[in-house]
Amino acid sequence: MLVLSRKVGESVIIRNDIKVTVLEISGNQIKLGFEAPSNVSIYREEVYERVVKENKLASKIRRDSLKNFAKEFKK
Amino acid sequence: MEYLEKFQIKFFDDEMKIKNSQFGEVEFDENIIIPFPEGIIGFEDLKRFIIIHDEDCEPFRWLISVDEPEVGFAILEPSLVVQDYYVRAGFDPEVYALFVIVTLSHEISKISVNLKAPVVIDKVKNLGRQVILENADFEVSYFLFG
Repeated sequence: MLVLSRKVGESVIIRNDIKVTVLEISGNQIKLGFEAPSNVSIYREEVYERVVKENKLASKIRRDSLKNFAKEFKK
Repeated sequence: MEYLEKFQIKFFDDEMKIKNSQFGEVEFDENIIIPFPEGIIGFEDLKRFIIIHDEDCEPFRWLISVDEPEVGFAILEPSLVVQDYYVRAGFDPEVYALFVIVTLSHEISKISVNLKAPVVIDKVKNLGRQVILENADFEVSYFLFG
């Protein structure tokens, strides 16, 4: 892991097109600003991991389960 | 959903086939493949998907990986769950087709859809990706039969 220290107002540049700026520090919370091309996704880690977990569960498809459920859903 | 109607047209020179244990052999035209340059969250290496209709499962459809055909997701048009989903999620329905991924279960009360991270298909560019919305009121597990 690369470790850098920054003060409020200072930034880091990732590759040559992603900029992360420290906007505010309050207690143990830090506000970060991100500037990146629109095709770069940036997520809070715990939300990302939650979606990974849900997608993995969802990828276990059972067509027969869904067939039965579809009937119920249409009602 | 005129965009999806095109998936039902069959041409005979660009046909492809994939095999899936739930469906057997699936034949489709190459031009229905939707590229997902960043894959799907948790499956970033899967860059090509198709959406297939399954009459027995309507209104649910299947999003299946062309490269890893055993990887597939049951998907649903989100307006069927949340009427103003497109507006609240901030996507123009003229440009984008949204789908939410269904997490199945043997128990109907445990079947949920992921409203927080829809699959977004750019109809104009024919590109797909999954995004995580900022909306606080959309859940990752929204139970359809609460």
